[in-house]
Amino acid sequence: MTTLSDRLKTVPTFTLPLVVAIVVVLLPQLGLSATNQRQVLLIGFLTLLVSGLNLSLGYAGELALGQPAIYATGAYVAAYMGAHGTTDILLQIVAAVGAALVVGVLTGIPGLRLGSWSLAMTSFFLVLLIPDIANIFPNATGGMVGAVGIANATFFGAQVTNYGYYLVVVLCVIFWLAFMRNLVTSRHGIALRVMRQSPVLASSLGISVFRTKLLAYALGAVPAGVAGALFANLDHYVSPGTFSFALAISILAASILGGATSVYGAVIGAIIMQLGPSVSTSFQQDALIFYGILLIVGGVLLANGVSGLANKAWKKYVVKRAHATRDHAAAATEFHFAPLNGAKLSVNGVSKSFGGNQALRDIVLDAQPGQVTALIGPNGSGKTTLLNMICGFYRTDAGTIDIGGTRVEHLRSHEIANLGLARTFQTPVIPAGITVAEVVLSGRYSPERVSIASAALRLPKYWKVHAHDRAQVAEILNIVGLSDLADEAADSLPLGTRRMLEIARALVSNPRVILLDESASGLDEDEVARLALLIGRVRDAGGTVILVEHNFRLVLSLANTIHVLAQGEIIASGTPADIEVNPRVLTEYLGVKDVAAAAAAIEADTTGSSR
Amino acid sequence: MTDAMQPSQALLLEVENLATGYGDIRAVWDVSLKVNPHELTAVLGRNGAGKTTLLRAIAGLNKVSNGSIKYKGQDVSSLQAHRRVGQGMALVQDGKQVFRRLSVQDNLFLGGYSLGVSRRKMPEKLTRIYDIFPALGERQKVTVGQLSGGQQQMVAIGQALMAEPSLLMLDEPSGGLAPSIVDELMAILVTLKHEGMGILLVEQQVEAAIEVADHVVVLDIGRVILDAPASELVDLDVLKEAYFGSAKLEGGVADEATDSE
Repeated sequence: MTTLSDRLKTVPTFTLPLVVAIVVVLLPQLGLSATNQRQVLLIGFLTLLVSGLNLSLGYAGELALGQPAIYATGAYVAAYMGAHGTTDILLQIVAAVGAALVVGVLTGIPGLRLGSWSLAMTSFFLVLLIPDIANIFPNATGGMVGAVGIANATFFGAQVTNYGYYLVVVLCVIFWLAFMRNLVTSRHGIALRVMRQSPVLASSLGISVFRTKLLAYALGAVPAGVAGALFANLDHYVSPGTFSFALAISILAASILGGATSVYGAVIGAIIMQLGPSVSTSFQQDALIFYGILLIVGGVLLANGVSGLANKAWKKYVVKRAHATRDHAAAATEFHFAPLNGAKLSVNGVSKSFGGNQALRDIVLDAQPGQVTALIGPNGSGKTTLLNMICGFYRTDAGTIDIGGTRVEHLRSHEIANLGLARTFQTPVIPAGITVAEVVLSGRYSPERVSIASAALRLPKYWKVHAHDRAQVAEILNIVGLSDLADEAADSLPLGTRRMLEIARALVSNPRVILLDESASGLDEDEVARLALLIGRVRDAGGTVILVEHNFRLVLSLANTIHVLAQGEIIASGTPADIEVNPRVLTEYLGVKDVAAAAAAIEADTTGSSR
Repeated sequence: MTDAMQPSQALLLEVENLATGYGDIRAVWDVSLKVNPHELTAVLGRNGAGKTTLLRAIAGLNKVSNGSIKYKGQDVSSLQAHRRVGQGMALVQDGKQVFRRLSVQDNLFLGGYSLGVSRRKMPEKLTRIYDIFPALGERQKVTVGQLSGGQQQMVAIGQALMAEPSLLMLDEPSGGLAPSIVDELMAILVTLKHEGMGILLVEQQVEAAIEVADHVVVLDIGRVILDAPASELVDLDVLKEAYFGSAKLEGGVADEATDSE
């Protein structure tokens, strides 16, 4: 029987917001009083402010308190224009957005460069500066008295009526929320969430952490600028008192109450913060206490705000997830990779020390396309350090690294990733709160790009890449045998499955060079077999594979060349057949005790290193 | 099958008909197993079989929805995780759960404090850990975050050993360790069990685990599919049959496996 939940599932997710939007647009026609219309408008302004904060706090993970300053910028720009003859509301909005972006970028660059809490601090001081700045330009802003004489807004020459103004505000909110929704459901939204949880992972996927954070923060200034321009036309009066620190706190409270990592949570938070205070009579005196209580309640009881609760309920009662038993036999056995344009990797004379500890000394090795180059060695011999230098996480002290003819030792990690380098991590890095399919999708960031504008506005380019993304993700999930887990939360999977997922994420970018850091560790025998099959296919497709691995059998069966590291130096290089019988490998790495007589002499001078 | 009827005073851990999982997702349906002092019980099985979930439930990190966990004859299934540690049950989780910003020595100290080991006895215990893992002895003051992955794994195991637990549970301790270190680790486990510790070992390196185990339990999809003394599994074909059922190995990775087919 078709239950209610089955029917609900087939309804597109934007249906409810769309219905709400239409109702809000029609409210004045349905007889909403002027006082209540004003409340709707104020909720609209607050929604814009909160939503902008959500982008930087909830998605990019950067706390910014400067929304009132941006709001003020927009308001004063519109007020100045309105008082000096430019009354068209669209022009005012455009100018306010421009000014907001400038302020956002100018404060964002130093704030983000300094890292940690400095963005919160710089934006906080920005709010404190508002009255002072207003005082510096009394002619334009009216100083402490406020800007007056703002002419009634026009729209292409026509006077904007009360309902017209109401419509402009509501449509601005709707348009912004649609923009925001499109942005965060696109690959950019996933990139933001990946970056928030693991900047290291983000940069290894080709995402520039600084640029992306700046973009999120600056984009978050846009709705605040719009809100400012709209606000200036509400009472035709703008005074510095509006843009107080209390406003900053109430924006933050609304964001947290509604759910910072959500689109429509901003509306919920704004409604609570706008209407909540008007319920209490003695509110004016106790505003900060009230906000404080709401913040604590929100922070403690609602980890993801009201919208998080709604989401949970939706998942629990409507989306009934099928928990398939993890049947590895379901993985595709017949598959092939499109030819990979493998690049030669050359490491030449690379050295690195941390403090006084020489981690790597004069490493020389080449990895050829269409081959598997393995690195083995005892724990702490420098294998992962070498991988981290190839990826650009560490700088070399000496020597060069070359990928396909490009010197990379001075490039940043996201730039190297964009040259076609993909990797997995020794402890899989799988962000929380995103699905298996989305994890794989995050690997598609680098090979094919879509601008934020075309993602948020759903331009043709977006749909084209979106189709590629879906096809590629589905194909790779099928290859690694994770198709039936595509919609599961990725961070709750067992270790072995997380490893396969990391490999899928690396492979989906069609890498020219792929670095696998102990990918077989924690895999069961089926999974090791599948991994070997995969690596073999990647090699046959022409990819350059670097394999750091402790599973000696796997290494012997797959590698074309094996390099053995010990204490930061390459002590042996050769084919599997050579390495298998190398006495130093047998004693120091494998811990074989009774090596043949031929090895006895060598064993004698490596006393103590193995028992 | 389990010989649950046989009474045993010396039983250290007895898990009966355990069912557990995450939230409403059940990962372990019905598992019974025992660990005696002086013995090592190995839990094997494919990934996703419920091995980690089982260990987490025994350690008190997952809620038990059915069945019982008896430790030293007393039902601990409603005891909080830290109280179980206090009673001598220690779990080494997979994925290097260590304090990355503290030194090796401080990490080990913390392992000892959890059982209220006195400060005076610490140096002696530290020496023992450094004997077991010389690589750590050379790096006592080094911040753990700077160690290699394998060395961090050693710290995690060392932490648990500092508490001198009666029951030591290890979730894939060989992960990220070089073959020679794995051999050493297994030798250490044998020494520990001879000293009286009961050990529950989840391991993917099947042959290494069976070599040191007294008893082997194989899980599949949250249920016990094989429960036998390790001595009966010297012939690995029995195990492979249970382990993989009809699924055939492919790809020719595991040379020995293909040879035996």
